[in-house]
Amino acid sequence: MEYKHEVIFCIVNSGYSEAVMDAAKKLGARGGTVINARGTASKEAENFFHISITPEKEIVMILIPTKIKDAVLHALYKEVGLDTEGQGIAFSVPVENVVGLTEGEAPPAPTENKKQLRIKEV
Amino acid sequence: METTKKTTKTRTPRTPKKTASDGFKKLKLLVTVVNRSKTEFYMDFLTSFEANLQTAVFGKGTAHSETLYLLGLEDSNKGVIFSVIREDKVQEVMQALEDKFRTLKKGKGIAFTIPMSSVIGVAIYRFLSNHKTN
Repeated sequence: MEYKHEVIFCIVNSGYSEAVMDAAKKLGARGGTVINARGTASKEAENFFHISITPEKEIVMILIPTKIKDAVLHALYKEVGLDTEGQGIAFSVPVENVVGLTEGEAPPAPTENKKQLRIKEV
Repeated sequence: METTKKTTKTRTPRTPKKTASDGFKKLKLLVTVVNRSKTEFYMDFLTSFEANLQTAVFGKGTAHSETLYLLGLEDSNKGVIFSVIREDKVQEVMQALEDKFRTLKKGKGIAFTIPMSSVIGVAIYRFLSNHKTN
């Protein structure tokens, strides 16, 4: 409870950053930063798990309030998770001393988010 | 007499240890996202706060088009700066950054810090924390 904000790092195949942002925005994230990156994986592991890994990746950095973190991560897992074409993984890191976020434009209330999430699950 | 001597002996090696831990400051990773054209400026700015190691990567911002319009930020190209700073500098740096974000034209951005749990190598720690001996 010490940390008010978290940064979600979502690593997806190149071209899927928009899908990531679409999923995150539905739950109240306002913006993100996309960084181009190159993934590496051992051929052995690829064969063992029967997956192919596209080396071209995009890292999407999304700064969000801690209270909507779980909902956003859940949405990312469902929309761009490893089972989808985006083959994304997402994790969050707690951060401190956040400056530069516009406070006036608050994200939608968490109750609304939960309702939206439930509707989607059904 | 002997017992007192022993206690002083055990105390003496402790003192330098204590001073060493007193001088030890934790490190933080400062992440700053700004307009690409302002990346150089902010890197120079952060250097003045004893950030010895900085890495900049280019990224693209994804904000609502409404938000972009309202803020007048048409350019979505961003620069992401990762810098390592000492914990006791954090407040000062954040205050200064916030000031620059507010006042500078097209200089708006966001910044946050991530606590670092460990660093390997004394020389590297000294470099990162700008800890100067002698």
